[in-house]
Amino acid sequence: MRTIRLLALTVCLFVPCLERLATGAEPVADWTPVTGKWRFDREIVPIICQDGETGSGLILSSSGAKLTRACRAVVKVSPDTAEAGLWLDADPHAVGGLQILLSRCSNVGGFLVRTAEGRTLWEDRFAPWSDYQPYVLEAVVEAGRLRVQMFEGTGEILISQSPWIVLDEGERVTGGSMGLFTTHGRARFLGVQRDVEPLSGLVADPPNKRRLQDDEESWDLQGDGRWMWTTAERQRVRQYAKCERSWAVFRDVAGTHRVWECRVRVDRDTGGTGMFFLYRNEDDKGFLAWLGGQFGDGALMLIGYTPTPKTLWSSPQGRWHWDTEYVLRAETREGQVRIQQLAADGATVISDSNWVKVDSKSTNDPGYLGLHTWRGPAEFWAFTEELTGAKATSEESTIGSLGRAWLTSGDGEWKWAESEQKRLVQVGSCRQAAALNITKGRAQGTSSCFVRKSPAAKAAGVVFQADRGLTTGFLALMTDAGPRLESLGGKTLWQADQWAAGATGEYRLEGVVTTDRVAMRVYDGKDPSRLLLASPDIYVPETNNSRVGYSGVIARGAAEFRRVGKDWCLVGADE
Amino acid sequence: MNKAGTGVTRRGFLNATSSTALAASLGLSVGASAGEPAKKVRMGIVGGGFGAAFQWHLDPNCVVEAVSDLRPERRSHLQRVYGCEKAYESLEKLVLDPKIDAVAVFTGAPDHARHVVECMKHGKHVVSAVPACMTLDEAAAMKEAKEETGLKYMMAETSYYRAPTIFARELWADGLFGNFLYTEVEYYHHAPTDLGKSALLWHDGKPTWRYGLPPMLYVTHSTGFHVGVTRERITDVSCLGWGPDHEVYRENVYNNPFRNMMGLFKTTGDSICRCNVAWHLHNAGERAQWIGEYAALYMRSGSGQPFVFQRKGKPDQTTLGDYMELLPEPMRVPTGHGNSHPFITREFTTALVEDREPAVDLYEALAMTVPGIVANESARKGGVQLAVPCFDLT
Repeated sequence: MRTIRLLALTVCLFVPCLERLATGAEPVADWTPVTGKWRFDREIVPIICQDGETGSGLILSSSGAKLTRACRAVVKVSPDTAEAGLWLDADPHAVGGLQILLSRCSNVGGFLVRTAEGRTLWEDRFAPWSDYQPYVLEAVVEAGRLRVQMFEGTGEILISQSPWIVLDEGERVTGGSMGLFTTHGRARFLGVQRDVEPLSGLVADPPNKRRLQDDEESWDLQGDGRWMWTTAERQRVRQYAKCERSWAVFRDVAGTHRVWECRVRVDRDTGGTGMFFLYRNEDDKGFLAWLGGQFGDGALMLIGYTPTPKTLWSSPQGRWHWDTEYVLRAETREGQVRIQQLAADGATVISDSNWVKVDSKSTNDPGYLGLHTWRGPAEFWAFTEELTGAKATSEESTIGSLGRAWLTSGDGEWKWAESEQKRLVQVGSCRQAAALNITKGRAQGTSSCFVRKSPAAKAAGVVFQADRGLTTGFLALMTDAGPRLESLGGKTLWQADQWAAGATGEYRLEGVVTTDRVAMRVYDGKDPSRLLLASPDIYVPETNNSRVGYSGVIARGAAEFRRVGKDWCLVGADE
Repeated sequence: MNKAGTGVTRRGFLNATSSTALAASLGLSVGASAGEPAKKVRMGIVGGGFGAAFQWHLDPNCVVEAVSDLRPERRSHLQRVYGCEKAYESLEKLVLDPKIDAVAVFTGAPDHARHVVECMKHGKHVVSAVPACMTLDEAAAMKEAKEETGLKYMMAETSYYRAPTIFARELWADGLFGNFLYTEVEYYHHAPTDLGKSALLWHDGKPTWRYGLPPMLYVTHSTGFHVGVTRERITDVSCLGWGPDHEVYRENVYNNPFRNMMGLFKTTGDSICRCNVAWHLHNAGERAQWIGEYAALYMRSGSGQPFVFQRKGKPDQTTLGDYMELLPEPMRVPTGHGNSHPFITREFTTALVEDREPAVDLYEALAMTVPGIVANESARKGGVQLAVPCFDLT
């Protein structure tokens, strides 16, 4: 590939916006195109444009090679372009070195560093960026290590920051050659500079550590919103984007018949904001206490999702305003819901739906609390159990020592048998102890786990299609008398008549939910594919077909459990 | 189209198979290297009305050397705004100051061409308020002065640097609009409650230059939205004028009977521009919408139309940055005309420091201004379509 040596020693890419840099910042000049269609343009400041719409584009410079500690550029990505960024130590054949780039990893953006061969060294999948908006990308290079950071276009607001990335021998860069590159589309670059000091040192709590998308155990996000804790204290959550609908379901606040509450402040020009309650993301059913209606001067509305949204009640308009703090409170009980909008004092009632009759089926299944925005940002706080003091009922499960992916209940004590969390142990005697994995809920399918009960334990097995309160669902147990299928309501659905194999040793148990039916299967623990016994199909009401629940393990005494798959979703081999 | 209208793009594509080499001249580059003092352009500011609304004093590459206005109170105002002690009673005296590199001409519109030529005769670069000129003869005189002296000229067209216009340029360069644009561009003023006593039209008992001004002689706030995005040239215009009868429009120095003018302009790029300028409507401000084959961009309007960029099959983009990152931090100040003033200021100073033509140089300025002069003639002839002469570099 022929390269063209530019005679433009005089092309100076000065970016006044970065004047606050320490003395020593040098603009980068002497550009050599390698691939793509490059041109120099200007909009107040010089801009390097890559105009090729397909393939890769790379332009290189070696100017200022002595100054290599901080390398940066402002990048503006055009629509449909796959990625764009900096390329350190690329050679004229477009190989080698490290790329620091904006990529479309997720629906909100992505920022990462990778080798030229494609191995990702670090990424922030949810670093938000938009087409045509300017972002400063910066690489800080030291002997044997590198870190990267991303700012908004003025270089003042940090968006994402990596820790120090230790580089293997073959990955190390000197920063001697600095390149700009694109993949499958156009981009603009300006303010390309080298400096002795980066724009920011390492911070203790960069924004990328506060994004809710990275906490998949507690949060389930939908839409194009940018949800973040506002500070390291993690008291308030803010949705930052001016996007259409976006919601964040918080699995840590759940239940059936209870009080739900949050505080909210709606940003100016935002269309509406609200709190989901008794909401199940899996089937999009639940309720919404919604500040909607007239923008900035609207009404409190109760909306039911079946999943078709339907307004069940509305206050008059003029009850909520932008930039004002409110309390949203909801209560749910059998066949009824109620919502209130309170002033910041938490006592003055602004709007009250009073009890609204609803289909009792819609209030009997547990759900979660969620936060919702429409056409703009808003801020939420005081919605967690600890902060609201609105505790779950005593029958409901709580997050225990196993982490946020698990709910535990009963009088047992759960521990990981080793650091890789492949074996879970219920220690000591207990009447009944359950550990429910709430990572993934589903209605039909197979849940499977290796089970070894102690001789003293009365039973141990798999719990499946269970609600978070462990009031509804099924158990596939190994008991003293052999395999038994039970409902969580305490009913024996099936018991093995003759169990010649005894009840000791390790078995792989399966709980199976199919249309209108449930069943259990028992396999040899040493040869997990060898079926020892299968129950007949037990017919259950058709309402069970779409009821979403979780899987876990249960013990009535000391027992040990070993996961089947790569994680504890307890998804069976047929998934 | 390039300035010569030959169809060759002004852009130079560099690719691995081309043998084109790009050489750019550079004077003392702004911030070219650490340790070198930044070059300062020494400005003379003339016109204490609109001339006081720019950011010369905030630009790190600029010093206000002197100010001038015929009115003493406006001279004082300029001195206060720009922190400048030196003041002259007139532009004719200011241009004699050897310390001044460039002059900002913010005098009355009918004086712009004459003042620009005067400045250039004295070796000064010039930035002027809009319009660049008001007759075809003035356009020719400005072109001659610029090409004879080689000095820099810039027209301070605010529509060029509104954020939606900058964004439209990016979209046009990326080809997202497609091969043509239909634009609807407008510049409106609310009708004064009492036209006969408006302070815009009267001063010290005498009519100002705005008294009876034909709207199309003040067209650049509108044409700036099209020419400033596409760099096309308007080739033909057809314009109608109208407006309620009033003594201002029965007898004025322009012999102009029209308060409002609406035109259809045809361009070198097969685009059409619907161009309005009006002094008597229940509406105000400068606004545009750009509608191409594949995308459309709408500025927000007083009627409630929000800003939106639309492409087929893609979600609407309803937010837009302010491009302030292109400016030095001290210059990031909000101003009228969509925050365009610091961009105009900065573009002019860096053009001089870097010894290059500014974005809205004389040729772009005349491409925005001359169509209005011809449109005015079209309106006086009942809307007949007329050809627009081109003043590009030949």
